[in-house]
Amino acid sequence: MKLSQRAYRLALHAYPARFRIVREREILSTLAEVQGDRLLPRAGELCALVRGGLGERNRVDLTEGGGWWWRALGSLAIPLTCVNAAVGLAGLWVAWSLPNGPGRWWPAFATLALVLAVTVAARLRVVGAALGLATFAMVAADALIMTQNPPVAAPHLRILEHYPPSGAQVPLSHAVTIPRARVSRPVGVRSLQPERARPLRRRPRPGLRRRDSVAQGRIG
Amino acid sequence: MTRQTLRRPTYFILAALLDGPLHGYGIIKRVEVLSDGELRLRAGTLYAALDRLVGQGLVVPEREEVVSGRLRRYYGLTPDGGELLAAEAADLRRAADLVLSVTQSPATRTA
Repeated sequence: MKLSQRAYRLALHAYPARFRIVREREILSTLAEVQGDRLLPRAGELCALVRGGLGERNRVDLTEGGGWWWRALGSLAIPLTCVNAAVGLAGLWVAWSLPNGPGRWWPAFATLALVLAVTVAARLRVVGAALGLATFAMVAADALIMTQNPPVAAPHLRILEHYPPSGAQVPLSHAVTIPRARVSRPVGVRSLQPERARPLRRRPRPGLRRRDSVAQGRIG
Repeated sequence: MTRQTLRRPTYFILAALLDGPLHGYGIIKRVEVLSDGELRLRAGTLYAALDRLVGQGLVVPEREEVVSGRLRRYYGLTPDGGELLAAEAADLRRAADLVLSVTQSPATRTA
């Protein structure tokens, strides 16, 4: 098979399968006559096939008239929605898998809500495309925020600066402190006074103290 | 209800079928001749338009033949397609007359 015929056959995959079954041979025959002795495929024919295929898949006429790119953008609403759904679900999974629960749940839910909106609006092609792009931009912005403020930098998760000691193999779970719940004090004169801010005092765990001591050569 | 104006490629495809049924490549060549070489249809454009026109009942596939291993499907104009084309041509003539009657009037020529 000639190179051009292979390229045209590949471009015909832009059409839905039911269309290809009926029309593929006919279109390839016409293209062979248009092609003549030319070896390389014509870029214009390839573009027209892809446009026609996208239009056929989405029941939009992309082949005629001005502003076809707007209709093409609209026809991308459905695939764009699928991509956004995947990204939104991934964001949801990330949000729920954080140690303190769904701390950043709203972008994922907002994404899913917009995905639904896009799906509904996909019939209104331009609106669907605009919503899809807006969703995509929002997910990208959320990814950027997450990159700049990763979950481990959140104030409720503190990593001990001097732990583990150099060279020690300590599980990662030991390096994270979990905020303690506030303990109510017994009612008394002192407890009625306004509580002053105290500097946070970290007490090393017994295991750590011993290991540090061992490291310094004081014990054993 | 107002009739939607035919787009240029659709108009020429219907016009190409006035003389009788043609296959895809025949339509492309005929449109090129009718438009004095201004309009050259791509295969993707042609078959998308044909698919739509068949769906609207303006064009109908009439017969098939295989020439040198190549499938040729012939398309013909339906009565509805012919009427629509004639109505569009009449509209175009009225629109052209509207302009030509002014630009070619003696007052315009002397001015």
